[in-house]
Amino acid sequence: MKKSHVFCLTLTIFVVIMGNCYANATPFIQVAIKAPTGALKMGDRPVFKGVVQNSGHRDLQGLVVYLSLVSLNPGHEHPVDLEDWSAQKAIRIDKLMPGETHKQDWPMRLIQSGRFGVALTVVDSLENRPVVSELVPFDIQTKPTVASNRILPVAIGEPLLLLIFFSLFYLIHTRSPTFNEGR
Amino acid sequence: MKVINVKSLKKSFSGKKVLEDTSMAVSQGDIYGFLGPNGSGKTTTLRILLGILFPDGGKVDVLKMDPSVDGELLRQRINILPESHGFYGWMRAEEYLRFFGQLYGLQLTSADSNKHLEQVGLDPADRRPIRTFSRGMKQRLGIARSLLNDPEILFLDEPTNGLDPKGRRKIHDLLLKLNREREMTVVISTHILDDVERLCNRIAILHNSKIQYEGPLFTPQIEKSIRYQFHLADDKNISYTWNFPGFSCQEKKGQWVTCEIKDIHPDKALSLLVQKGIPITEAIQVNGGLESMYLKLTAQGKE
Amino acid sequence: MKHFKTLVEKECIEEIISPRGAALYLVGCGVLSVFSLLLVSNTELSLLDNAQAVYMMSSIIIAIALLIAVIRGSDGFAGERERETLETLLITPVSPAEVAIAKLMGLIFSWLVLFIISIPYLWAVGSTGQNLNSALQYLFISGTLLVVIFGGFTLAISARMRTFKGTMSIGLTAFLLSGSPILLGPSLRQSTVGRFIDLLNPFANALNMLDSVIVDSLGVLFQITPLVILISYTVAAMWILSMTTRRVEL
Repeated sequence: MKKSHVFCLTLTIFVVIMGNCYANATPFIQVAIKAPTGALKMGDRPVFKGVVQNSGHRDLQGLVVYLSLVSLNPGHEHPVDLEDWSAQKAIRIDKLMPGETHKQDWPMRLIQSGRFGVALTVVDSLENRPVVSELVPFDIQTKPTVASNRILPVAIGEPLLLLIFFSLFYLIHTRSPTFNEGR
Repeated sequence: MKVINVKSLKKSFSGKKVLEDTSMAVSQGDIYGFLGPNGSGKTTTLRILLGILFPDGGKVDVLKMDPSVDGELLRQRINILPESHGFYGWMRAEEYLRFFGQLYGLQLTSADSNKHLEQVGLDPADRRPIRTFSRGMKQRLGIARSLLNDPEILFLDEPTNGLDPKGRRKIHDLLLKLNREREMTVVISTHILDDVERLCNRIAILHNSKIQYEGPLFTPQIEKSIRYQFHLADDKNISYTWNFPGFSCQEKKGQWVTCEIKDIHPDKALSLLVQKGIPITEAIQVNGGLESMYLKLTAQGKE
Repeated sequence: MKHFKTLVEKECIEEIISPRGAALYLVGCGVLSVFSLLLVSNTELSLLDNAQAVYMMSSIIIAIALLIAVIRGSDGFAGERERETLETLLITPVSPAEVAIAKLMGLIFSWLVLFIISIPYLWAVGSTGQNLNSALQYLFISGTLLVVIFGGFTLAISARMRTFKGTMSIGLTAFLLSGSPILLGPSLRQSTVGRFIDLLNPFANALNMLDSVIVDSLGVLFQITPLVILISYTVAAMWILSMTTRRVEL
């Protein structure tokens, strides 16, 4: 093999390797999230377990980890605002040494039924590409709750009816002969 | 026949003696005036006679029953108009009488209730709730209630409170009528000496926890002479030197004549003047009589 | 007891006719309406299942009933004394005991009216879920017993105290004392001391009974202990009432 061919091959390999490094976007961070086992239903408060690992050789500092939730109901896929679902939507890891693992619980209140997916995203400020875990799907079953179509008529109508009843009773008492007439 | 007999009655409240060795007796058919200053124990005595308050000592006999023991039976036959008495404001007058009638075992019809209301000057057609009544109307309703069970003894504590002169006269006439026609014994506790003089034949004056006087209204113990001023309709040619038994007239000023009346009931004195054709339009007691005795007796040992 | 019917009738009519009586029911109805609307509008409450919602509503109904019982019980003798109507009642051939029983029946009538008012709310909240019929039965039983306990107790105090305000302060204190342990968290109530206090507390007994019937779907056998405790308190309240109303002085 000529010297020039060896040089070109080495350069090519170098470029490919460097390119892969960028394409993997900081492969030194591993992140995963796990859904709880068992059936989930509306109103439950499950805890999702999140793990962030520094699999690289340098210290990672100021990592931001945030939770994402999407609705996976067919035809109604959309991002879900975590406002009512979780009080803890993001954390900051001050420092993660090489080989160190940070475990975090992500409690959630299941306020709707359907099929959803949850993922964790890690942002390193020194890198320009966040690391995202796998999307973990889970199903939330419905449970029978209060039917609003029955409550509204009762809640609004009954006080009014009562007021009318007492007023009528008072008027009848005032205007007509006494109740125990002729007893 | 004695319908009320009280001997040596004792009652204290929180260590303070209200009644001590109080004795009195009321005969059937009496209209008995029960007098005394505020806080002398009149209402306490009446409540003991009704059996709604219990004495600390002494013997009480009302219609041959002990009120402390047979109170419920006794209250079937007697009644009282208390001095301060509330009403169920939401009731109407007729309803109120019917409710209390039922408590006395009476099934009052509308006609019965109306009769009771008319008797005291209330309008049976008035369907307003009692809370809208004036004080005088409430007093009349209370009197109507106290007559529901046709009581053998009727106790009245300040019965003419809140009544106008016409109302007072109406109540007087009613009580006199009931006393005359049904021989109802009436015990009146009042400050209004005019009412006592007009209605009562016997009185008791309670002061310093004891009865200071008990007896007929007009006795030697009551001052013999009372001074009156009479107003004449026409003073022309009328002499004031009336030479009638019991009269001693001293002066005449304009149409007013001042006389001392002695050993004669004022009502009889007035009747005498009318019979003699004296045109009297008004008579005012100036001094003497029951008021004088009352003030004398209750001034002793004043607190 | 021949005047009993007349006195009870008067108490019951006064409940409905007097502005004070009507106001208490309207306020109770308002509270139930607000809670019902919260059940559908508040995120937290809307996640409750039917059984839990029925249990919570039953607890509120009982609390309202006891408040009305304490207010009306306090007014029983002390209020009439202040309004000067007690004397006009006692000067008739009725005994204080008859008056007391009639007033207690009036309190039970109040409870019946409130219970009837509550039925549509419970139906709206719980008809699609479980145990609504059992809820109604046990609510009626426990509510009646509790009203007799608290109402009888305050009537007894009212017969002895001079003022409505004094009686009501004692009655409300008893009501708050019996209600306060319920505000403690479940973990505190699970402790030995917590369970002992729950056992002695008629209010807590009633709520535990409702919880076991409505939420846990437990049967009659599990309710014997709380029922026995409630009945014991009822008998005690009636005995205290009879003792204090043998003689009522003005």
